Amino acid sequence: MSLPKSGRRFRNILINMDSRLQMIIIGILVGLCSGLAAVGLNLGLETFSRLTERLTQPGLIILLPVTGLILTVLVLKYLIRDFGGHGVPEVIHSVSTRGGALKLRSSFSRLLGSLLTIASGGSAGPEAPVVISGAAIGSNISTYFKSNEKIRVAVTGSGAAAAIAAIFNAPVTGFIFTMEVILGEWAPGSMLPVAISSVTGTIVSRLLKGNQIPFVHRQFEVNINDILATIGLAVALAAFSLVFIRLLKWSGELLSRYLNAALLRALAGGALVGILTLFLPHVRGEGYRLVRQLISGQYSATLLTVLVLILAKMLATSLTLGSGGSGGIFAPALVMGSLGGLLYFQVLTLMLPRVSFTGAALFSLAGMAGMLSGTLQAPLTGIFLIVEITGGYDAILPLLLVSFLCTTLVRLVDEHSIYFYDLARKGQLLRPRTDGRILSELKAAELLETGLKPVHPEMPLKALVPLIIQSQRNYFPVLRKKDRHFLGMLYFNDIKQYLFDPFFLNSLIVEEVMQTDMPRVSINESVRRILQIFDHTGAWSLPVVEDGRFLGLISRATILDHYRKELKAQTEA
Amino acid sequence: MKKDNLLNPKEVASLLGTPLVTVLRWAYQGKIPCRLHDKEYYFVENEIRRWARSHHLPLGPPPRPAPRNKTRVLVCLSAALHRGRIFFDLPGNDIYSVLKNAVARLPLPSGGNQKLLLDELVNREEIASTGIGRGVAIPHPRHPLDLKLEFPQVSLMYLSTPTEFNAVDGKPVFALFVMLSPTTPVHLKILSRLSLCLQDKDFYRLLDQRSSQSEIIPKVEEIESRLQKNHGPAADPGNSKGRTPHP
Repeated sequence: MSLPKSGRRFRNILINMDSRLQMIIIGILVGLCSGLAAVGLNLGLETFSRLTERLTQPGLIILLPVTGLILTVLVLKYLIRDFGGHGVPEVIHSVSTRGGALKLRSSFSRLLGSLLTIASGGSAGPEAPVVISGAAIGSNISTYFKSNEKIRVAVTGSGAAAAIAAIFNAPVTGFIFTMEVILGEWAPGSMLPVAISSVTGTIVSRLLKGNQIPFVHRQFEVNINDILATIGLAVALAAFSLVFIRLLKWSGELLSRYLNAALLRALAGGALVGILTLFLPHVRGEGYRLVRQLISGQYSATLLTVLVLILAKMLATSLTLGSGGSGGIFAPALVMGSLGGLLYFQVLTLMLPRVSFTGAALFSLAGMAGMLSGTLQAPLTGIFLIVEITGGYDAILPLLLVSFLCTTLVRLVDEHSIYFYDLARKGQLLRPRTDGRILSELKAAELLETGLKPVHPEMPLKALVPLIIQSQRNYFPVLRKKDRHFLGMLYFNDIKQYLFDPFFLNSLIVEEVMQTDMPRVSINESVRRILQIFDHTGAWSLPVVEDGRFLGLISRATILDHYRKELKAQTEA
Repeated sequence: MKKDNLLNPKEVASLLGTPLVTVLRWAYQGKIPCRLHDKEYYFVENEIRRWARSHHLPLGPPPRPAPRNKTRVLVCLSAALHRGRIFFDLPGNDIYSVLKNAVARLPLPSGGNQKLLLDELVNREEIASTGIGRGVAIPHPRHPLDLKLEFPQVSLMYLSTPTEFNAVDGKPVFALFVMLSPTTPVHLKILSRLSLCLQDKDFYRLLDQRSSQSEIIPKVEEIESRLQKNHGPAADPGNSKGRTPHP
């Protein structure tokens, strides 16, 4: 009995606490849970992958990803009722429009899904699933403690940060990923919980797995040739990124166009991935072993093999995710980047045999940073991830150059990153402090002008004169006398020409001078849509009508007034 | 220690001049400092004021157009006429001499600049005649001059000989209402009341008969009291009590 009671007391104390202190405590909690989830998935993947890798018969290699993908779809779609895909856009969407609210089931659904997908040989990374799990954990913890939306958004981001920090043993990357990709603004208010969560997640990971650096490399002596050569690498990686982004988009669209049933898609996608794996075993899973070999200089292959492998990895990842598999593009991007680096190095030494370069490993590192920056359009995340997971600061110059160059080049062609593409298409990409974000926060009900003087259609113009004198506004809603049904609007501008003529004053009635064809808006209409109607019609005010009942008026002037207040309220002082 | 003044969402809404829905949303979104107690938000006044200041949000309800109730007491034609008094047999045979003699008789507060006033009145007549027809003119300066007037005053002056005033109907003028007001809005209100009186047949007849103060002022009082009884305050333009969130 004492435990639930003290738990409730703890909750009440936390609810009434200073918001900064509250964020610190929730940040630690979220870091713990999220870190555990990430480490759990990591260990689960290692165990299962070791089991499945023993199965080397060609039939089984094809059958395994098919089974894995079908199971993923069954579990996610029918058992847990959540969606496949990588899930990061969902977190961004929730953070930008729903105050960071995420379903509780999202905290484990993707973990399960990605475990099935990746362990069975599907080509995808475990990072995006842990990001959404961590974010959902954070979101639900802060909902439990009744935090306001501002805190919940920060804590949801903290969960994602802790997950990345824990899975890569990379606290700075976790922090930067959340700030750069998830939250989209470097607001001082949200940095505190994100940093605390990153630290806590890393500690959890180090306690359980040890403080190991995933990809150890030898020390480099970076010379000027390498730095100049990275410019070309950036161009090559930008091209790879663009191809990869397109393949990802198309595979999903193509598969769903030709195969209606989700299970059929999983079957086809799985079979194709299996066939690819049969010929090129390196495409399977998240592919970290290959990366490890590449940057320690243990992997060697011909130029053509490397190129084919890169394209195969892109295809396998697109098929896995497009056919309903659950997983992310973080790890595949790292694999492609390191391979791309190797490929570039091979081409370079072929063309310039007399020039000395530091080695394939350095280009593989730079390749990883560039590919990650290019596909995610998140250069800082790319740089710091590579610095942290390789434990070396010595490659920072090429990393810095290649990451920002690659991001810029990709952005020349694609306006939005792979994470934002879907959101932008649905008009849901609402980054902080943008016009769309402010408009999305305002509700029509807040803009409503009430207290207008209604008139009846049978009223003679003469009877309007005292109303016009009394009213502060130049417009009057026309309501049917018996049931107050909204019929139209009467604008002072339309009648002023008749007001000074006794003949019209006595002979005209409201019905004859009112406007009935102006657009009406519903109280639930989005302010963005209302503004579009204003733009299309050139109107200055629009009546808000619900089931024939006149609720009030929305005018451009009111929107400006509220827009400014909202902007001011959003700005951190 | 000073006790914090607690506000409910409604009070915060009126303090910030925003709709209640907006305040509740801000509280829910964590944009505005608030406390949550038993599923109800409450706010500390000092915190709200500090928050509004740091976010450059204006405090208080949106400003209303003008404090009209104050002027309403002052705007009373009968009182203005009482202050301005009635004069008989104003000499003069053209606009300038009539106005000059009128200004000389006007009861101005000490320090009022008669020369300036005359210039302004003549200037106004040159732009457009104030002869509004049926033998009546309403000379007034274009702007409220610095006459140190606290209240509006209207002086009725009967001319000894009807004078050509370029009136709208071309008729010579026999009665001047010299109007002096502290502000333009007051001037307009006095003007609208005077116009109402001139439409009254009995009042015009009294005017036509060159009636004295004892007859004219009670008549004006009667018309003004009828105005308030019949039409209520609404008939007086600018006295509406309507809410004005967005003028």
